[in-house]
Amino acid sequence: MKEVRIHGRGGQGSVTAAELLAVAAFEDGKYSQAFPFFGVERRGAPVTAFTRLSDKKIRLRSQIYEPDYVIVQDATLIAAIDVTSGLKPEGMVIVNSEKSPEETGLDAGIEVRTIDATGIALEIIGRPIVNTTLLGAFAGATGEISIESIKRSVLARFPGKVGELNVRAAEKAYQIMAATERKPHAKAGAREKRETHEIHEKIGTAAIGKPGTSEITKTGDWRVFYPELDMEQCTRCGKCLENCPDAAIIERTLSGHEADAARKKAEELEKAGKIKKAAVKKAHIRYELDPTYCKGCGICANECPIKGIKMKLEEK
Amino acid sequence: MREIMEGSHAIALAVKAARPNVVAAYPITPQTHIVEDISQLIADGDLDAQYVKVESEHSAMSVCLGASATGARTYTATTSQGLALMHEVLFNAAGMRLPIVMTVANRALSAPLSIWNDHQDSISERDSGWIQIYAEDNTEASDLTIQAYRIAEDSRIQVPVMVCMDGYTLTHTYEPVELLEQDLVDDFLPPYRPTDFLNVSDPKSFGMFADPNYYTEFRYQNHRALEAAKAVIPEISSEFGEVFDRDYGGLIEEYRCDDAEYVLMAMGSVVGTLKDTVDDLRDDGVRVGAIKLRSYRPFPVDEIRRALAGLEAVGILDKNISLGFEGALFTDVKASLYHDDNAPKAFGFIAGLGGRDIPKRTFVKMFDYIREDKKSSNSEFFDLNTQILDFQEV
Repeated sequence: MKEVRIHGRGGQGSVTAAELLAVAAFEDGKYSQAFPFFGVERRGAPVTAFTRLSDKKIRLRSQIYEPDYVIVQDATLIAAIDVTSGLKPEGMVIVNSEKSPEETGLDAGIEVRTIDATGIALEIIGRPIVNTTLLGAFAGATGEISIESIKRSVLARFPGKVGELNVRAAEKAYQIMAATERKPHAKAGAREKRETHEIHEKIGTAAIGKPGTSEITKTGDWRVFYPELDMEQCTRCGKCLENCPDAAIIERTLSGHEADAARKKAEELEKAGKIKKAAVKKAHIRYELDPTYCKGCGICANECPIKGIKMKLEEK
Repeated sequence: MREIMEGSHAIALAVKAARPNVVAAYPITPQTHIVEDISQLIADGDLDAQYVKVESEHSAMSVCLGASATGARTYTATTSQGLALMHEVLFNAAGMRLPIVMTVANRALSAPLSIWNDHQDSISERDSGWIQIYAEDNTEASDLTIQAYRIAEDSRIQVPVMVCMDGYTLTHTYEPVELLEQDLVDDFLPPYRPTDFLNVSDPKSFGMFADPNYYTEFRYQNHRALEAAKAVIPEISSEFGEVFDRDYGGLIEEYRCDDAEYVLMAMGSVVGTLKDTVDDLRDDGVRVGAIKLRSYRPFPVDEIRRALAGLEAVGILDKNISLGFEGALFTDVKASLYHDDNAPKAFGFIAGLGGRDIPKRTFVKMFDYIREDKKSSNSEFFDLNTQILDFQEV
C-alpha cells in the first residue's frame, strides 16, 4: 500500500486532488481511498487530504502518519507546519515552488522535487488552481500512476474546456517531472525529526479565555492575488469592508490639508465627468488594504457594485 | 459492478435503487451530500419521488411520518444536531410502527461545537424504538440501505431503521463501492404494500390516545418487534447475500476469533482499522480477534455471550459516553454477560470522540491494556491529553 498526504490551503483543491488521485488509481485497476481532514472550513486555511493506493481492498481508516509521498500545494505551508512529519525514509516530497529543492528549507535528508505549478496553472488554466498540475507532477515523479488515468479522472470531474485546460497543465508538469531523473534515496534517519505541534494550553471548564487569536494568523501570507482599489471611482458604499472575511480593508478618514486636497481632486474629476457625485462627498474617506491579513480571496472585487476593485497577481 | 465514488453519493444511488416515494430533508449544515445528491437525481428525472424541502429536521421527520402513514416508502438522512432535533418525532415514528429508513451520518453533539465523527448522536437515540445498524464501509452502508427497507417493512417487524455510517470517515470518503443492480434490487425489494395505512375508504387511526389500559401493551408489541428483528436481520442479510453475493452475517461479525484469547469490540468504520491491527498482532503470534457489532438495537445478547465465552478478556470501544457512568456499549456488553460463568473480563474504552483519530497504535495499546492483569472498572478514557485539563479532583 502507498500512502499520500496532500497539504494545501482552503480553496486550492487539496481534497479534490486527493479524490482525483484515488479515481485515477481505480482507473489503473487499483483499490484506493481518499478522504479529507477538514479543519476550520475557511478559504486559505491549511487543509490536509489523504489518498491510499493498494492492490488489495483497503480497510484502514485512520489518517496518514507515515506517508510514502507528500504533496505540498503551497510552499508557504513549510514554515507553518511540519509537512514531512513521519515521511518514510525512501519517501518523496513534491512541492509547488519555482525554487530549487535545496531552497525549499526542507531537511537535506529528504528527497524533494519542486515544480512551479502556480506558474504552469496561470499560464495554461489562467487561474492559480494547482491541484491538477501537481497530480501530473506526481505521476511523472513517482510512476505510481499513469498520466492517462490522471487525465481521464480530471476530465470525468471537469468536463469540457475547464477539464481540457487542466489536463494540459497536468501533462506539462508530467513531462517536466518525467524528464528529470530521481536522485538516489536518502538514507534512513538522515533527517532530523521536527518537534510536532502539541497543544499544552489548559482548556478551562467550558470556556476558552483566549480571544483575538485571528490576530496571530497572518493570513496575508496566503495571498497569490491582491485587490487593487480604485479610490477615484469608489463611492465608499462600504460593501468591500463589510464582506472582507479578514477585516483586511481599513477605513481611514483624512483631515486638514489631506482632506482638502482629496476633495479638490475629486471635484475636478467630477467636473471632467470622470466620476460620480457620490464619490466626491466622501473623498476624505480612504479605503486601504491591510497586507498583513488580506489573503487575496477576491470577495471584495466580487461584491464591489461599481467593479472598482481588480485582482492583480502579486509580484514574487 | 464496482465504481469509485464518495460515500454520500453511494447512499444516494442506493436510495434511488430502493425507489422511495417521498424524501424529506433539511439540507443545511449539519448535513451530508446524500440529500443534495438525491435532490439532483429527482430534478434530473432519474428518481421518481417527491422531495419535500422542510424548515427543520423536526419537520423532515414529521413529513416522513405523515408520508409513511399513507403507505409511501420514505427516506431521510441527517446527522448530529439534526438528529437531536428529530428526537420527539423519532419516538412517534417507531410507536406508529412506520417503516421509515434514515441514514445517520454519525457526528458529535455540541457543546463544544464539533463537526467531526463519533457515535453520540445515534447512541443518544437508543431508546427511540428504531433499529440501529452500523456500517463498516461504504459498500456495506449502501447494501444496508436496501436491506433496511426489507427489515423495516417486514410484517413481523414494522419499525423504522437507522443505517448509521461514520460522518466524514465514510460519508466524505472516496472508495470503490459495489453498485446495486436495479433489476436485482427490484426483485429483492418489492414495492411497499402495508396492511395498515391512512386510507379514506378504510379509515384507521395511528398514534392515537392510549390510556393506561392500552399503553403498556403497545409498548410491549413495539419491544417484541425489535426482539423479532434479531432473527429477521440475519435472515434478510443472508437472502441479500444470495442475490448480491455480499453477506455481512448477522447482528455481529467475528473476525479471527476462533482461537482468540483477547478480543476488542467496536462499531462502524473503525472496525476496518481494528481488523488490520488484529492481522499485525496475529503475524506476531498474538492470539487476538475483533468483533464488529452491527446491530446496536436490537442488542444481540445471545450472540455476544456466545462469541465472548471462554475468552480471557474483551475490550469494548465506545465512541460515545453516558456522562456520569460509562460507554453505552460497554454497559450493554457487561449486562449481557451477567450470570455467565464463562464470561471474560471486560474493559471499556472511551475513544474517538469528536473526530479524535484512532490509528492502529491506539488499538495495539488497548490490546496491551486488556492483556495485562488488571481489575475491571468503568470505561477508561483513552488517548486523553491530561496536560490541557482544568479539573479539580474532589
